[in-house]
Amino acid sequence: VSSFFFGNSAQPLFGCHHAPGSVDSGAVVICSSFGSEYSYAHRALRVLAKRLAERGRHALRFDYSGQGDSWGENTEANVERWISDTTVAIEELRAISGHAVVDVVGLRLGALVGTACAKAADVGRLVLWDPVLDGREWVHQLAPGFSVKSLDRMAGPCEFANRVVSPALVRTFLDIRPDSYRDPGVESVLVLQSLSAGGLPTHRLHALGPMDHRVVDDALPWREDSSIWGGLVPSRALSVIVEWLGRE
Amino acid sequence: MESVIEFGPSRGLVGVLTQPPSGTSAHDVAVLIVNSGIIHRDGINRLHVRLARLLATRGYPCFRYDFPGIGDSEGGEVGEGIAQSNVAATIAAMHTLCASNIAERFVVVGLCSGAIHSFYAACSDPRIVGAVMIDPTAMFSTFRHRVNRVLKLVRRGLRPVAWWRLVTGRYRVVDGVRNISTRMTDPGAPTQLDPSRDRNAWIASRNAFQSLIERQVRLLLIITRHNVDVYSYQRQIYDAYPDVEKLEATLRVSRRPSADHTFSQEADRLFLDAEIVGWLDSWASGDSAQTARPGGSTPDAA
Repeated sequence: VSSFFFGNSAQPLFGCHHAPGSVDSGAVVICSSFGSEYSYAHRALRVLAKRLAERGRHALRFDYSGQGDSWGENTEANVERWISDTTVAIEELRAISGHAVVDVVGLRLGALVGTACAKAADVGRLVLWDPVLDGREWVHQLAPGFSVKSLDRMAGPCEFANRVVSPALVRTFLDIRPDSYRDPGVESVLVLQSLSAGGLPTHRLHALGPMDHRVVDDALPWREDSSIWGGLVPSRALSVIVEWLGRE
Repeated sequence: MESVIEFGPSRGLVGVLTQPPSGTSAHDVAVLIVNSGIIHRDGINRLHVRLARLLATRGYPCFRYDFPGIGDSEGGEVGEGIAQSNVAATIAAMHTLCASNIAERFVVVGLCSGAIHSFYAACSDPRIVGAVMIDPTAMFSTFRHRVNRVLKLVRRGLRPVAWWRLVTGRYRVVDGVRNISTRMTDPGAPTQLDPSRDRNAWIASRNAFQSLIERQVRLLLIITRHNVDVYSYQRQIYDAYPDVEKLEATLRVSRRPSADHTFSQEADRLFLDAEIVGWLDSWASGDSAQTARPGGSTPDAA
């Protein structure tokens, strides 16, 4: 594993590259979620990258601008930039691994980000892990007391989900709907649904187009488990992803 | 300017060094920010990133790193057992920064379990000249603290609403007992230690404080409402160690009852920033020779 900054040297992104062992069979970029979901899922995504590397894949985890170790403050975070960051990460992994085809795994908001950049970045396959399909509901989960109505009156940054962000970021979140995932332009898509996440109504799944759909009964890594004050590692969900990406 | 540093015997430990911007005169004291629980080095709500970048603008190089097995660091890199391996990781971090001429004196900052590890590290290495302990996971009680606890319960019991609920049958005794027992078994709740029952631990901590004072190590204790049940008044820690000389001159206590454990409100984060910067500036900028480090050297930066 090697950790480094990459991309624009004035606005660097933090990344962790998990190199494969003797077998080198592909490359995967992993896109995380936002806020506390990012923090709690960090461990699970690290284990995912490690397991992918054990199965012969280069895996790159990275932080979006304004998140984690990457450049930028919370107020500078925006989804358009994160889509662009993901494209930069895909290019970085192409350069490191020598593989022209790069797959993407996106968790929660990362599923949306991965979908949005897939066509332009010429992504191979796409894994949407518990994608956020209802932005309004998700905003409520992230910040239960947040008044959506007050957004229109806000001129400057606002407190949201335990950080100060731009109101535009919250508005982008609110606009997330199944249509946001339409036509990613990749060869195949896996939608991985955790049973305990509440389930995806069937009509919403159809909106995503042709895909493989798997349901797992496992822990939600982006939620805090009070026994450890962190996120659990959902081994069954990780196995499904690793096996699916391991198919020829 | 930030750089990734992989350090430790097999370079399996990972941290991010934030150096003062070029042109800023850097202090010869660097700040180490350690993990809280199993949250990786960014800190919950990105608290550590924010603090590191702020302190760097004030001339303090900051190094946020992951303990073995947490965040991006490999497990089993140094030491055996959690406390020993975390102290060993902190020592390895200091070796790396010293070797790169970043600093030779250090302040360790930690929240929750990180506060305890900061204290352990400060006791273990003479290069550590200060420690910031935010909501430590264990505190010793005092006589006045125990009285405060009783008075708090009495005040709750005397509230008219409590009696009204009892009289009208709306007070659920079973729920009340369940709440108390849940609170007692909550793994995240701080532990209340009693100097008479936990005698050996109290003696060990008293000796540790005495030793830190002799080494002139500066200490800052920050308490939020998460810890009010185990730390109920400003002077509790001084009263817990009545025979430790000069504790008051060495250890500053700052309480913020409005803040939660993770400083989720911006006003509380600003308070935390100001407390740490103010405390550091009050001594670290005064007794350290300020040296201009244009860019500094970056140890094995990736």
